[in-house]
Amino acid sequence: MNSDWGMMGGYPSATGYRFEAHKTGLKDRIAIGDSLPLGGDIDPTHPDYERHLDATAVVKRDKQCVTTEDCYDNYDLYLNYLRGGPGFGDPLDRDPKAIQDDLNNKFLLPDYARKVYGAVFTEGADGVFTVDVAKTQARRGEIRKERLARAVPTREWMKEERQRIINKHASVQVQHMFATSFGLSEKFTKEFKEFWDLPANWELHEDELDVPTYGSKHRMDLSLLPDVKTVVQVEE
Amino acid sequence: MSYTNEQISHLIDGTLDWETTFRMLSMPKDQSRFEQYVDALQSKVTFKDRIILPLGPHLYIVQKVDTKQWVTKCDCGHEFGDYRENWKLHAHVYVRDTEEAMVEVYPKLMAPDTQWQVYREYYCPKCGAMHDVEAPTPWYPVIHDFEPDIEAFYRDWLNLPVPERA
Repeated sequence: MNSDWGMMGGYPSATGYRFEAHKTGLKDRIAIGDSLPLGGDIDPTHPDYERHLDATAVVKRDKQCVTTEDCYDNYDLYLNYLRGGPGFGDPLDRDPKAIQDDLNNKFLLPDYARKVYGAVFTEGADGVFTVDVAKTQARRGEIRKERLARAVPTREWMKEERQRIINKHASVQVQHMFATSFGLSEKFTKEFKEFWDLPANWELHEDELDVPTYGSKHRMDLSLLPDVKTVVQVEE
Repeated sequence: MSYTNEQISHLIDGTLDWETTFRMLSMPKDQSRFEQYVDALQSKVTFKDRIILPLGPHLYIVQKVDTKQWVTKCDCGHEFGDYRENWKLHAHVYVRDTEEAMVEVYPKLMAPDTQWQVYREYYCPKCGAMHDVEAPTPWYPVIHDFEPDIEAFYRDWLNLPVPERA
């Protein structure tokens, strides 16, 4: 999940991921001077750590960013990666010179300089990147057209999304989040149903989802306890 | 502390030197800042409508020069309707709701599972500028980011006359 949204056309930050490896053979690899998994696992689309571990290694890569109690041996390898902040503004506005600096400082994967920022560049024999400003500008014009070609008017998309809601088509986790929120707030339920123009009899309840959660059956607001006085905000 | 119009113009373009930018950030705002800022924005757009409030790098609430209506407008000239409405409902949207679509903008493992969270990109229907990206769960209503009380802002915060509105 990601709670770091971008602003005003910027993308959210990258999400983190977890890497762990057991039975790595690192002890012997160090002893004999074999190659080792070093550096920042630069591009998880093309993972490199695995090439520097023994074939016996048991590797786990997943999107779970929190590791609770878990067992590790000496020479196991663990990485919990969070990187990059959210963006501000349309990435196509980024100064080509700044993209060039990012590439040369290895802050940015070349593939994404192309796809996200629309940069057109060359890499010299010395490994130095040079961004072509005129070609970048032209490419960005094409990207804007590509965006519109794949997009639909928001209200058209809303009709499709509405139908998915009516059909209760969403992962059980998402449905559970909404069901519990509806259970907590009539106001939110009303706003949600109004926004999507849902039939009056459309409902979603936690007990129809078959998700056993702690406290789902017996739930009591703390304010109902005899000695608890709720704080009333000034505006109320 | 006050600044020149040229400095404010550089601020908007992101080319103001860091020392001045930092001083601006850390000091109380000077009285004339808003007017200077809006004037600088006005000189960068090609339309004649008066900018009432900037909403983003390419998005403004403007007073239409002919009718005095307040509308949300892209700097390419496209209008998104009355300023009190959610402009996103008049935009085009592309939803990244598959792994393939996410890999276009993030390396593997570095974007959310689209069963849980999707990225909605809102574009200007005319020029294709990306004005906003939402990252909600599926089903979440289109978010109305900002509902400014412009009258109170001009009157009580800026001590400026409220622009005429039809």
